[in-house]
Amino acid sequence: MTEVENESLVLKPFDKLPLLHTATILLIGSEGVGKHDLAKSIVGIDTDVSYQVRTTVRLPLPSIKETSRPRIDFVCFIVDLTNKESFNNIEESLKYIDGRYFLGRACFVALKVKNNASRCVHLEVLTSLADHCGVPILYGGLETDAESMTLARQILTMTEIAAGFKKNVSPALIDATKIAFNLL
Amino acid sequence: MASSGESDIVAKTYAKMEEVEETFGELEKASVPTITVIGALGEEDASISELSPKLLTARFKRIKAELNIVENSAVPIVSDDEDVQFEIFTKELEKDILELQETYSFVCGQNKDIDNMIKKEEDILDQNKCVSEMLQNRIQSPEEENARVPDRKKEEIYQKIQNGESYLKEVVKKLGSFVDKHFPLPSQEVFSEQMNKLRSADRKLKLRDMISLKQILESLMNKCVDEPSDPYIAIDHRFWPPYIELLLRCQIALRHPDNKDRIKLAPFYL
Repeated sequence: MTEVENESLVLKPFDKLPLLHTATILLIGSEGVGKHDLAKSIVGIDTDVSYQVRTTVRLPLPSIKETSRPRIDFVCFIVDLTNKESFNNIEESLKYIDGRYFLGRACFVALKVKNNASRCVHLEVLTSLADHCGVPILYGGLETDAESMTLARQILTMTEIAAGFKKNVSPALIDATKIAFNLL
Repeated sequence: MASSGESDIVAKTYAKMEEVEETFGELEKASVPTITVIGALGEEDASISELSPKLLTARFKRIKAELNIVENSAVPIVSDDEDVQFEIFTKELEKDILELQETYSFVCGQNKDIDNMIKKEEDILDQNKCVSEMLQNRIQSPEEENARVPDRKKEEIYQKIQNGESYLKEVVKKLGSFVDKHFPLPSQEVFSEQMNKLRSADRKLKLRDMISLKQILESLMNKCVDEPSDPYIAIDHRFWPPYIELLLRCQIALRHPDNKDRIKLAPFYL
């Protein structure tokens, strides 16, 4: 499949009105990578505004529930480094997402970083894909509470900025400063 | 965005929401085309590791738009009303004071910590100084002792040697006088009597040729000290046989295991 046939299947950031004081995070990952554990950690964090978490195995999202679905503010592509299928799944899903999500509204999450021996997704492949999309990668694990909390906090911070809850900070600003930092 | 607006005044919020909805309607009408980044993957295989050019243009557009907003939006000004200004400034001042107080208490705590640490470090320094002093003393004292000890030891050893020599002289003198007194050479009569028992060929010996017990002991002892590897001396007719017998019986002297004419001093001193 070289071209996405149906434009309506593509996930777009600006096709719905945002809810007041609510942001929605979409977690995309194969079965068994720990989407729901991560979602629980994200929801468990106490915040000023409310965060919703939606999970899916792959894009495109089913069109049946299109009307009841809120606007997706942030997309997390979850890759289990010990599971090749999870990476392929993400690669397929990337076809059904608008490129505007890659401007600070998406991130890759690489899980089971510590399992060096059983790793089958090469980091170079993952980083080249992330570089192509201009998306940051969060490395972490869900084995302990502390690990999943760290990951959840990182995702929340990025979502906060992506949804515009932080005054005077926008994804573009983050991007610009990041590139400046990289040049140093 | 509507969600970022202040919600203290409900009406204002509603107005803002309406505004947002209007803008959104415009956005829908404009029907922005989707940017597919991965969709045409087959064509862009070569540059997969680089940022997609489509994304770059999108990013450029977005930054331009944000810049536009920042440049054109009015700087929020505080209202001219004196009461409002007073209120705002007092609030800000109170907040500042609170923060400063917190900072002050924090700094105080840190000061205390640092003081404690300095005290601890000083204690440790004192201890280390004591230890180093002790160690230095120890290093110095052996040198002095080393310088003194050999002399003292030498003197001690000399003293011991002298004592031993004088004791040896005394003992040898006593032994000599004792042996002279109690084990003299036999008298002429006894000697001739003994000679008569021998065959005529063996009667060449004379009393004055005989060796006294004192001389025997002397030669035994000298041989034993001078040649520890071969301490045996040969005996012949000049040795008075009863004395040889006496030495052997009392185990003062021992015969050579192979040669009955040779004896040595028993190694009782070992």
